[in-house]
Amino acid sequence: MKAALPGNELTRLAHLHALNILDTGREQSFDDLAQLAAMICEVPIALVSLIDHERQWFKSCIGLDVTETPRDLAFCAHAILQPGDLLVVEDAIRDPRFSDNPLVLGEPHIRFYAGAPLVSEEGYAFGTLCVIDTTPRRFGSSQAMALKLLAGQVIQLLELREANQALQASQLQLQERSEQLNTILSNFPGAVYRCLNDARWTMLYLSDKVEQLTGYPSTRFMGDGALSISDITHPEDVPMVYQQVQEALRQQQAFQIIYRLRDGNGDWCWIEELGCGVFDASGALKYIDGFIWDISERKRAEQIKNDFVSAVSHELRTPLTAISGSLGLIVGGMLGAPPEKMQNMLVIAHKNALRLTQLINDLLDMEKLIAGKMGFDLERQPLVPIIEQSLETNKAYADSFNVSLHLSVCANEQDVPLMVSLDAHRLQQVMANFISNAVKYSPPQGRVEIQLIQLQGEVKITVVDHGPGISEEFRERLFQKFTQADSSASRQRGGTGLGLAISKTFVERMHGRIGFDSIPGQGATFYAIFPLANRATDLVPHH
Amino acid sequence: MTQELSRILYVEDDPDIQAIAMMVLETIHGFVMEACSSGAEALQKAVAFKPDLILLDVMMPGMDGPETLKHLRAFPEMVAVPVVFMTAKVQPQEVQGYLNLGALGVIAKPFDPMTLAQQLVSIWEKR
Repeated sequence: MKAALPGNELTRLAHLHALNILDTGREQSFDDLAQLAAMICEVPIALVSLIDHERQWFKSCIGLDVTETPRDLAFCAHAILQPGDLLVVEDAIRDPRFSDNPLVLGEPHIRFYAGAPLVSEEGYAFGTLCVIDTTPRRFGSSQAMALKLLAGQVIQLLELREANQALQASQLQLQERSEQLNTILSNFPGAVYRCLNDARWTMLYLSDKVEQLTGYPSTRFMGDGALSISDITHPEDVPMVYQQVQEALRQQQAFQIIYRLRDGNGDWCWIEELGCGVFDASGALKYIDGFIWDISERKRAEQIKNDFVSAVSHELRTPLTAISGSLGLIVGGMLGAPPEKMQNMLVIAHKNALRLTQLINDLLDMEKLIAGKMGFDLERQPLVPIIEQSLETNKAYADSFNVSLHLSVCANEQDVPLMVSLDAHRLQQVMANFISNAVKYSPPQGRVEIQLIQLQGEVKITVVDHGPGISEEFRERLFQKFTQADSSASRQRGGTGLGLAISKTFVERMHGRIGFDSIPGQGATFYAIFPLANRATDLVPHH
Repeated sequence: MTQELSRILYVEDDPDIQAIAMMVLETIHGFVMEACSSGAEALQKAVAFKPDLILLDVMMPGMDGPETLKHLRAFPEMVAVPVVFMTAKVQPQEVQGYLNLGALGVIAKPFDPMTLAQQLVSIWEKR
């Protein structure tokens, strides 16, 4: 008689197949349990049988030389219908369910059968651990108990096997991911690290590429007696690196630093590093993750470019000096008055020669600033005379635009003439830039106001114009190199687009701040703020 | 000293720059000028010209300004003659370097032809 299907047959089959056990090879642990069952029950045959869709398949099969039989013939197909109970058939010939079963009537002539269902945690009966004899017999209660317990062990084995498979799969996945990561890392043009924020940047991880940068394998940077990146950093750069990293970590920001590292040949190479702190939920720093790569090539290119700009500028300066010098003499009337039409043209030529000279001077200043070759001579001195001098120097220029310059001082009387510690020559350059911008953008007959305003321990120098102001989209780029409101304005107003970038650097190198306020349509105010040095104690330490 | 600046030995390799300075100093302001196009030429002419002041370009091919000065000082007649350098390198420490070499003053290049004579006279009066 054919067994009915369990009520949960579809999900039962799905779970069975998920075990990935059907049609696998023999396993000692299953065989041992079957063997034990056969011994305890004193029968010749014991099976671990799993009921598949149309067959029963034997994971273990003691005393029988088949691996599966059709499900229709399976005693176990009946056993799984009562997951909680053993199915015991003491004499198959006398049981109507099995009396016509070919396995009873023919080989292997089953007479006795006892099967303990293999029930998973979720309640699915996958099959049985069963024992079989070819003669009818009775089944003792201790044997029944033993068979049940052994069936429990088979279930345990199945679950262990499944857990093991899951583990292996996730391990494989992990390995694949780590291989993937390694491939990606090894294709990076630099080394990736994770380190602690200590004096030696103790490395937790460092990718292999570091060997290309430093000549040392990554393992050399980890463990006992490890080499520190600081050990091979240029001694002049070590404090700067430390400071910048600490500052960035304090603000929980990423850092980008450039420094020199000794390469495998003992030469210094330029390194750029990008990194950021990794913080836990409470905001405490766990470690630093980052990336370093060789930028020597870029540095060399920059050097070549700077040298080129410098060389070209110097070469241009001599002929320009001759041009503006001779034009200056004529325009200045030193050689007598030329005819008026000629005079006009000569004035234009002279003005443009001066503009070209200014551009070259700006370029050279920029180059010096970038190369760190520009010295600043900070000296304690009164501010007012410097500003007065600026007005005088730039008066002729303002006159040529029909613009007037006005100075006002707003300060405590006893603090005038406002002592500051700076380089007068550099401040003159900043003022010339501020004033010439203000004049250029002023309407005809306009006024440019220069104000000195005393603040708490500081003095603010402002240059106010009543021109068109600064448009929104231009504000962010104002202090960048080669910036001008628009190229048509550049043609109209002259100027190099370097002035404000240079001024910013100058002001900052003199411990000041630079900035501007502007309402479009109502003019612009540019300012520089410097610390006051009215008392000797206000001075910067080295003066 | 009350002696007026009159005779200037001028060393400048660029002929155009030289011509402009000569126009200003000789033609317009009436100084007695001896122009040289190299340090070597200056060494040949210096003693005979008996300059009150030597105006010396710093960057010249061959013998540069400071080297020319060194050789000029080797003539007993030139030991005390004031020297003014003309150079584009006018950062404070660079200027100090020229003064340390024994220069009386430094005039920045590019110079303003309108004020060149006045600058020279100011330096001269500082002696």
